[in-house]
Amino acid sequence: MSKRRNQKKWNFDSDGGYRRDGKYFYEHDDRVDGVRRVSFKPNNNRIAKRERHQGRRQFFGRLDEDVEMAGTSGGGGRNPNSLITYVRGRGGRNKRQGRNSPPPRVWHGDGSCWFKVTIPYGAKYEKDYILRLLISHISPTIFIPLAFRTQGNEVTFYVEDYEAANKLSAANRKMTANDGFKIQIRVSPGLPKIELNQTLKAKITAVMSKRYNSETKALDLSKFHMDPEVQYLFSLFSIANNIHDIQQLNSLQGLPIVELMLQGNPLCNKFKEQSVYVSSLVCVLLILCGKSFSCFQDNIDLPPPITFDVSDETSIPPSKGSFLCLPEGQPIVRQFLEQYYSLYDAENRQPLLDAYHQNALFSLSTAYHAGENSATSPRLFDYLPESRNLRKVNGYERRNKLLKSGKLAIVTSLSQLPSSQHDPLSFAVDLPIFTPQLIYISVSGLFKETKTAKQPVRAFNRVFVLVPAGSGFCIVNEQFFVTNPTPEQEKAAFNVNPVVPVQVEPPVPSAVPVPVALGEEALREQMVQTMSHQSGMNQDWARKCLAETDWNFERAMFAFSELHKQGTIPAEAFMK
Amino acid sequence: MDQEHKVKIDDACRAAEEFTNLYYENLDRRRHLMSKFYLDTGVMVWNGNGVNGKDMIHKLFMELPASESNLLSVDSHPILGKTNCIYVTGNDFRFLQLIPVHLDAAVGNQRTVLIQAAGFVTFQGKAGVPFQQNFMVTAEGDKWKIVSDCFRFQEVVQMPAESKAKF
Repeated sequence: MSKRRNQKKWNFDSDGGYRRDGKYFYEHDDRVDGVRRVSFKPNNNRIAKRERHQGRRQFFGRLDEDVEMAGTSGGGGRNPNSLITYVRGRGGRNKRQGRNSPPPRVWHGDGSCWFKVTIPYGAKYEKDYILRLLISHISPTIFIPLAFRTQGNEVTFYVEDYEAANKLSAANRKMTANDGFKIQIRVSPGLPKIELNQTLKAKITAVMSKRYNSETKALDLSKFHMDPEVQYLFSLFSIANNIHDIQQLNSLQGLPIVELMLQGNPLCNKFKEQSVYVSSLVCVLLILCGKSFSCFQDNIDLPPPITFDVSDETSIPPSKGSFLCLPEGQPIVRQFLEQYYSLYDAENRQPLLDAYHQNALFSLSTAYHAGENSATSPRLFDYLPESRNLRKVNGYERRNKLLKSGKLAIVTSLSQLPSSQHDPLSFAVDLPIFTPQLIYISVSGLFKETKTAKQPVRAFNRVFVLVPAGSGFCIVNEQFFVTNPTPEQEKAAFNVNPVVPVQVEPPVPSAVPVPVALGEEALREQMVQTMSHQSGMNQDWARKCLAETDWNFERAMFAFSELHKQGTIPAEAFMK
Repeated sequence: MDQEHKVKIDDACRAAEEFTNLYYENLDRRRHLMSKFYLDTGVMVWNGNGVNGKDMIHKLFMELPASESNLLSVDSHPILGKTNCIYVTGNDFRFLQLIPVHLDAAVGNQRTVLIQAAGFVTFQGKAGVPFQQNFMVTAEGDKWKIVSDCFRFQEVVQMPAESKAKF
């Protein structure tokens, strides 16, 4: 044991097993009993031969290695260049390697070689950004990242290129991202496991029908993943198709499999007892196919399984465009937003003064998305100086300064923000609180800056708290968050031909009288309209009635209904 | 601005920082405790799906896949003036959850704070996505409790024509 440890040290420490002249000094390591290392060489025929010789043992050895391989401890001495090696014990048994040992090499019989590349904390960067960084770092070697996905903080993808995998492994902690962090990269052997969705299924079907020979009723699946039409598919297996691990069958999930032929796959030899094999298959196929299936493998009938009726399903509920705690709130919220944004998007935002309470509070905040900055994304410079992001702005004085108090300060601040045009079709509006005393509206959506070069589209989230004031409402609190849109949002913004046809509704008769106070004149005009609509009187008479009741809508409506009951309203009042 | 307001503004900032740390930590790690953040009559609106009451909120949280949240921005200010919240329980939203009395009506002195948060969240089985979240939080005894919580992915919301026309 001590001998091996020494050898390991010899191999990994000092200059990392790599001679200055670029030759691996353990090239002839075969001679050393106990430890064998196979390293990358451009010409790997020799390795291939040797590994083929090792054959099955390699495949099994891999099963134990399917844990986190190269720890992130960054412990010195890890040889970035000897990515792919394996350790064979004295007795021919495979030994687990140490935590910092490089992952073992898996050689797939058909000459393909798959590697899983994991980037811890990669999720905070945009996919595009991180891939570009990697590609430029290992240039001129190129690679195609397959099955790119984010899981927690990590991103993972797969490469099928030996050289690229090696270089990527060597790039661990060599690149500095735009946020100052060194990018960690872990590379381990691994086949991509792809979830099948409708698109993929359609592609599979297309390729399969192309490869199906109806005369012999044979389906040729050799090198299936290389088929140009399924560049992104690798998860179909059948006879002699190199299935090492029963878990790989999970990739078939969703397919209506009734028969599965697995002869000639390494996995068949993995099980000593046929009964174990059968029950393992049953478990996997149960997951794949649901409850009812019949399956034959090597002509073995599989018994139907007995399961538990426990489901622990989690799911993300589909998003809805708006939530209203009270449907009655809808006309008021709608009118408020229409009025507010028509004034906000206007040349001059001064008229918004009437929309705010004397002691209203307003603050703006902004932040680039994770992985973004002013170099990579449209700049948020017009918003940043006023941003009251408490995670960045410290100190009581500065926080206080950025909180705008009073209608004048607020409208002054709003007037300094870039001119805008909002896209009402992008709005998601939630109304969680709607009471006579307080209305709380949360709006998210998109606008474009009309006077900024390139007219960038921005995403926003805005909260308005309204309280009654006079005969309408006014804003007492407002929070405004601005950021860049997602690529999907940018594409959808101001889409004049939305997929869903939008009905143009006539102005909604307000069930609740008197919407928002935004200027005395506008408000009165609206009261007249609402009164006219609800009473059936024409606008002149509605105005008259309102004027006589001091523009108190409720009194006006009360007066109207009393007089109407008495029949004292002349017929001309109802002539339009 | 008078001294009293300044104290409230400062308090709101502190509450918001502490609150958001706890909230997202629990969301990611101790989901089953989430409903404790809410008033008995609290409202949670998750991407336009609204529920109210602790039990329903608990159910909503427990059904969401595991998450990993990264907070990028927090802002907060108080609802000034004297607010006095009266809670009315009910089975649906037709009952009033909260009646804060208007600013100028000097009744009671309950502290209520608005919090706006933005960040990046990854739910298991879904690609990471930016989000924004708005809270109204009020002091119930010596505890801050959520009156209202609106969560939105930053996404293109596909709306049926009918509801799209509403706004």
